Amino acid sequence: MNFFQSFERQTTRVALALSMIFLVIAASLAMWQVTTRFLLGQPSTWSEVITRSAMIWAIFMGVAGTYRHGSMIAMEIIQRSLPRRLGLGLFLIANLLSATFFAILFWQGWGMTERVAAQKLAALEVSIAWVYAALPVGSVFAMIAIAGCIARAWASRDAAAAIIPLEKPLESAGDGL
Amino acid sequence: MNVAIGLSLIILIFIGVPIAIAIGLASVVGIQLHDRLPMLLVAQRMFAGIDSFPLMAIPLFILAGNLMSAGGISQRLVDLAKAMVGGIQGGLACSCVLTCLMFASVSGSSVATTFAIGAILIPAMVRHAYPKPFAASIQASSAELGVLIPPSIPLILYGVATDTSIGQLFVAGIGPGILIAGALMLTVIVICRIRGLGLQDRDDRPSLRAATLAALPALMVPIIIIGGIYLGVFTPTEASAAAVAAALVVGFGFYRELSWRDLPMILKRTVISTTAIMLIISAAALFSFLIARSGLPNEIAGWFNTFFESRFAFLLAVNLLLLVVGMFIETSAAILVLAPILAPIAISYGVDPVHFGLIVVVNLALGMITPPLGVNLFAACAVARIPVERIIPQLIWFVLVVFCCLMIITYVPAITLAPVDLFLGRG
Repeated sequence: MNFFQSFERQTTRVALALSMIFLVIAASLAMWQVTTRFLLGQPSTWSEVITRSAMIWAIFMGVAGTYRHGSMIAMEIIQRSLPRRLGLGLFLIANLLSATFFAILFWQGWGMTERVAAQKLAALEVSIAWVYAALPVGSVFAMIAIAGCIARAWASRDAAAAIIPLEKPLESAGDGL
Repeated sequence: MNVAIGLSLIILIFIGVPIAIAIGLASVVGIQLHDRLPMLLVAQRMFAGIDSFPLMAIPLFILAGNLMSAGGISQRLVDLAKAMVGGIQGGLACSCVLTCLMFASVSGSSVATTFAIGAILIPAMVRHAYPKPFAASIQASSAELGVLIPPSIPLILYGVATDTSIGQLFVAGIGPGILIAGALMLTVIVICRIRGLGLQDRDDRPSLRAATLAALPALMVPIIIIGGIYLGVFTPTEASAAAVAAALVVGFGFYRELSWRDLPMILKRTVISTTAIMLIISAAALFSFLIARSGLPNEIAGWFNTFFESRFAFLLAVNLLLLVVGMFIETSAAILVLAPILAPIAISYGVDPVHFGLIVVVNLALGMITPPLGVNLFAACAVARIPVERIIPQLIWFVLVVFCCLMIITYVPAITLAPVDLFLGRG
């Protein structure tokens, strides 16, 4: 494994760990919110705002891992039914397009983060920029993870090699529904 | 502009760009071609699209479902279903439908239902001499109950996209869910009689008493969710938070099959599934914003109005449209893009928005078990380890039955709306 691939493994691991922490924060606060509404008769207002914000961070930090573990929902039927070299070519194009999108999202997310710096979250003395920052930060991790997918696929000349399966098969992989 | 957006979307999806990114990039193309729209919209709309408390129910229900599957609930529900309907010919196959009906009330997703229940029941059916393709097609078709019985991710999405009460949609899902479950069981029994399948299903059947006792804690979660929403105690998001808490209590306290060491894996699965779906929601919010500004919804509404005079004809046309869409397009993307366009038209024809939501979701659920893009088919075939082609001849009957149910649900609004009026005292 070369330097870049182990670097990508680490950054994606960090992003996933952060995403999981944000999920725990969001879930705990949502439970807290229900508890306060039933025990105190009125829901605490700050917990709803933080639940939403933590979930946004969880989602954008989760993108890198979702690419690495091959769980982005995509229509891969054409890639797979083509001969391997052509399929690899299509895979590379698709991933370069994905990377382009996250470059745009990084750039525009950064722009929005600067623009909303003066606005405060409802019920909190915190700038909305802290939440918007999830977009550019998550996009950076996502671009590294996509580059990792491209590197793995290119190294073995096989699109299937881009995906690292989770330790146990993911039951609800990319399942929307 | 619309043509450019549509074309780039189709090309990107066919290349294999993830649906969420394809929707995002097509929107970027649209903004680029428009004179006055700033590119900042990409970040702003994508952020606003998921910055919503009702949508928080989706990750929380995914988390609760993953906690429940890891916490030993699936096997208990299977045992209970076997005890209830296992005594007849074809009883094991019927219990597959029944288990999916029960599991659907803790899971908002039909693919998750296929994996959780199919992993237990498909091998069991094969042991009882059911042909593999038959077992897989029953599993695939019953799992779509996962999106009808509350909690349901597609119903949450419809509610958010069209400003319809999610609580009412959840209550409205129960009638269609039970109708389809009943129809599927009847089909299974008839097919088993004709083909002489499932004759030894009475063996290894647990007693009803023991099975009910064992499943009681597992059933606590749906009771909290559905009961809370029925009685108007919980909003769906609050119910999802309560479901997480209940799943923790059941997994750690009652069955003791959940351990702290499982949690990182459960959390990882949850964030990955959550990201995969929420990113589509986020990008679709951007896309719908552009579509709404382009005036396309009005054009489509005008088109419908000139071609279809009666409500009957409109509903038929919409059903056909959604069936075709459901075959090719991923469900959440289809709901987020189409529902805001179609729901107002439906209302103008006098269709109740809650009823229309169920029509949309049942249609798209049918798309999950029809080729070429039937996620449930792929999941069930993956569990049964057979190629998708082999399942299709068996599947036709189930698809036809669900289609008949869809027609009944479409033209008999009482199935969806009567429980809503009864429990939530609406209008």
